[in-house]
Amino acid sequence: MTAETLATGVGQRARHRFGSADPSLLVLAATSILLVLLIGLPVGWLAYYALTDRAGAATFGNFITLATDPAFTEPLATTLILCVSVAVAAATVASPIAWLIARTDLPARRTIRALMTASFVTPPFLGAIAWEILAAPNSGILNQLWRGLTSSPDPLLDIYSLPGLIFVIACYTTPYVFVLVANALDRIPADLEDAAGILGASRWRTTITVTIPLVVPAILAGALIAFLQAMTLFGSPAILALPAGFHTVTTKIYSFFHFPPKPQLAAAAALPLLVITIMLLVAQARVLGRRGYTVIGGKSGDPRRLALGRFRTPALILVLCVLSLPLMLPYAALLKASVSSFPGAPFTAEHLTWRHINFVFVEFSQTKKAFWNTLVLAVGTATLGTMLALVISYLTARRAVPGSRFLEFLATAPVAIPGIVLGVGLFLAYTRPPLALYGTLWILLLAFLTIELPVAFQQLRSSFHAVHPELEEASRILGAGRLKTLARITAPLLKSGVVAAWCFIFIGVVRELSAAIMLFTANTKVLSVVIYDLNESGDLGAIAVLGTVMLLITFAVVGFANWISGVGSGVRLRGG
Amino acid sequence: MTHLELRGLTKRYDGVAVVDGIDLSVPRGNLVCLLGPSGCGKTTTLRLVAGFVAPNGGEVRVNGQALSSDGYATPPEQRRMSMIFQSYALWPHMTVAANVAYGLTLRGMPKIEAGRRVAEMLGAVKLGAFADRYPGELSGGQQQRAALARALIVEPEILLLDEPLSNLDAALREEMRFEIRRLHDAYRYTTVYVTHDQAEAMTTADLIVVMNQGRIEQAGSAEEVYNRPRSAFVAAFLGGANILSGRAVDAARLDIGPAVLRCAEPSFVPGGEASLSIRYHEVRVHAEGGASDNRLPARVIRQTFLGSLRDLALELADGTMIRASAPPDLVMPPDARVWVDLPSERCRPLPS
Repeated sequence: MTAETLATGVGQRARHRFGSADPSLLVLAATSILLVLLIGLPVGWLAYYALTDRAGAATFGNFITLATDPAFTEPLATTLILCVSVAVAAATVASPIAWLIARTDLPARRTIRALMTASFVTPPFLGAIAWEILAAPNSGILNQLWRGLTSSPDPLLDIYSLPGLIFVIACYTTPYVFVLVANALDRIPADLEDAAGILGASRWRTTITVTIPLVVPAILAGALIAFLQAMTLFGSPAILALPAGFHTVTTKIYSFFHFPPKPQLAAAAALPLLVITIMLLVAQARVLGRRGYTVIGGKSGDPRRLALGRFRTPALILVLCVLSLPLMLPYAALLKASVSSFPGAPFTAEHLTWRHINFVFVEFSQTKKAFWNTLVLAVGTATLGTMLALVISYLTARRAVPGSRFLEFLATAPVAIPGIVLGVGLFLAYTRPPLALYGTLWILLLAFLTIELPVAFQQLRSSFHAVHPELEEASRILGAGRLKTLARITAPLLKSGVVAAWCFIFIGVVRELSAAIMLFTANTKVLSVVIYDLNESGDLGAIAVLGTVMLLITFAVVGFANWISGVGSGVRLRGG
Repeated sequence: MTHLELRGLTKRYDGVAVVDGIDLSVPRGNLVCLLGPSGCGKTTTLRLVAGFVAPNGGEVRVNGQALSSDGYATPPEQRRMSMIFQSYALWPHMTVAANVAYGLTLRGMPKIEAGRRVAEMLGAVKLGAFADRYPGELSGGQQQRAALARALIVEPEILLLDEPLSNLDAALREEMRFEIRRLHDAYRYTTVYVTHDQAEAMTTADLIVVMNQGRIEQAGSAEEVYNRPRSAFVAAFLGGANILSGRAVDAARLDIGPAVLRCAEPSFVPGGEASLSIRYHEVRVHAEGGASDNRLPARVIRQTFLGSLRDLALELADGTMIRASAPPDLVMPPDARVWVDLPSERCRPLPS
């Protein structure tokens, strides 16, 4: 063979290799790069700022400043107290309720589950504001009722306090624990309990020795999520702690951006949150990994329900009382405040008013803009995020490319990035060329995309595991490329999962505050930021109106998701 | 004329060779069966041919053109093959007709023409009345036929079948074996068929390739691999056989300990270690008799009535176990002393 023919041969081979490469490889590469940038850029800048001084020289000075300044160490201690209290409170309240719902003959179980989900999707900052309306020391509705009843000059409750803050955050983290524990209880195969029964254990004994130990990992996991929520929330502490004159870490980070801004300190203060979150998530993986949900994954008939007997009604009343704290009371307060001349006004005709509704929808110039921004961002993020999560979960579930484990890690990593930390990171990353996105909706889109990606990814990954790979291979061998197969076979089969992911992101964006508060400008205010601003100016009536509308949107989307997944399950049934 | 060719095809997972240097030529229009126990590498070989995995070495050639080579595989969608999967992989969100039409639509066939062909194909697999059903509404056998129709309608270059009958019950499996052969005779696509069931292989295949531990043990017609197994593995895996080992006295005789057995085909190396195989049903069992050539005493350990035959486990004087399929009316109580006949023309020397 001459050198020339050899060269031609090589050329043909190369063409063969690359000329026929399917275009989906490009999409895969693009997705990976996008993901790396999405997460790597903000975190990278965060680390850079945390480790440099104003002049840009490397230093540990920021950390030393923080560690020696009581203005930071005190909020840190407060935050730890807050997190532990919330985790304990949420687990203590949610676990028994979950057991009552999943394992006893408590009446109205379905309704209570639905109500728990409702408190799940209530934006925590809205809950905090509603509790302001209820339990602010002077104007709070409950305190006024108390004064009216007892003619005592002192308020019954003071929501502007650490216990008040713990209470409100616990209200809205309880559902996380509830859902995890109730699902775990649902999935315990009846045989495991029967096995104890046949050996002579009574129902109660079985519950204590078999059922409860099996859900301990779920309780721990739930408590952990409650802990992380309490640590990373910005809205509730900003609304309740600042008036009381104390800080948590998140509000402190926010204050570092007040004039004169200290981005180095903010970055340094954000890193501990990141580190603690990662450590806790690793610990959780360890705890769950040891006993695992696989034990709880068995197929079984109906779970055994314990008859409550004469405790049925008292138990129901107790559960409803607990539910009234995150739901009935705050929702009633919001509704009342939106049509009353002032929140604590007596409920009479003369105090009924359209003023707030009129103000919000006619007079207040920011409303329209904020609604529009929120809608654009929610739809945009949900659509982009679902597509991105679809591609990533395809790549990882099918191990389609080398390094898919890395992609999986990247797509889950934002779980460990608190919203406010991400906000700081994005602010630092995109206030400079070449991507000076600060002041545009794009930076908010990036933030929301990053924050919501893990939820959508996990939803779709589990959907993928239910689709047999051979269904895709059958399409490919018949001549459809990867992307065509994804569009024509996989996506329709995943329909309900895709819709659910889209709705999760949509709801998540509508209620997001902690990253938005770092990134908004006058033209890019979203609904949550407007509500926060109105709270600063004390306009509770307008907030109540906006909050009610926000809740209506959220519940409409939840209802739509439920309806679609009902339709989807019909297809699945037919498909066998 | 060779249509599909595998040259030194190798696939390793974590350093372990799952497919270990396979060489195979399949003439156009032939049906070749890859037969072997689970984990022998047959399914991986099929997926290498399909292009779902890229080999670590060797090549897959179709019409003389390499489609897969070391670290590279032309994507499956560009191979103009089709495949029938163990799970059938019918898309649950499409009707039977839509499933079958899918490949034609991808090839840009006009709707009317595609509809006509789909109706024709569904007729050929006897599913004409089920075109508008969803896969979930079909029985196992009907799903199997739908999967066949979907794969056949695109007139594939090569048809691949991955354990297509393993999810069916025994009666249906037998029916579908003949059905697959009938369809193959009708369409004559070059076909690679993976199975662990020897009856399936023998019914359907022109060429049976027995695989074990990632290698080809033997390739040949059903008669060849059954009657002239070239290894103990092939003899035992196909139909079951006694393998007796010992030292060759001369080219035709093997000393297995309690006796010296004569083989009709002399091929031993005198003085060397060697073994021979004899099938269960070729062993004759007599209640009485005396020692003679290839006849030796044994003791009944266990006997099982299986309807058409009686399965006997026998022990020779030195403890060697022999299994025999005797006529069902031959009743032998456990511990009975019997004589076993190992006819010399049935004792096949195994290449060492």
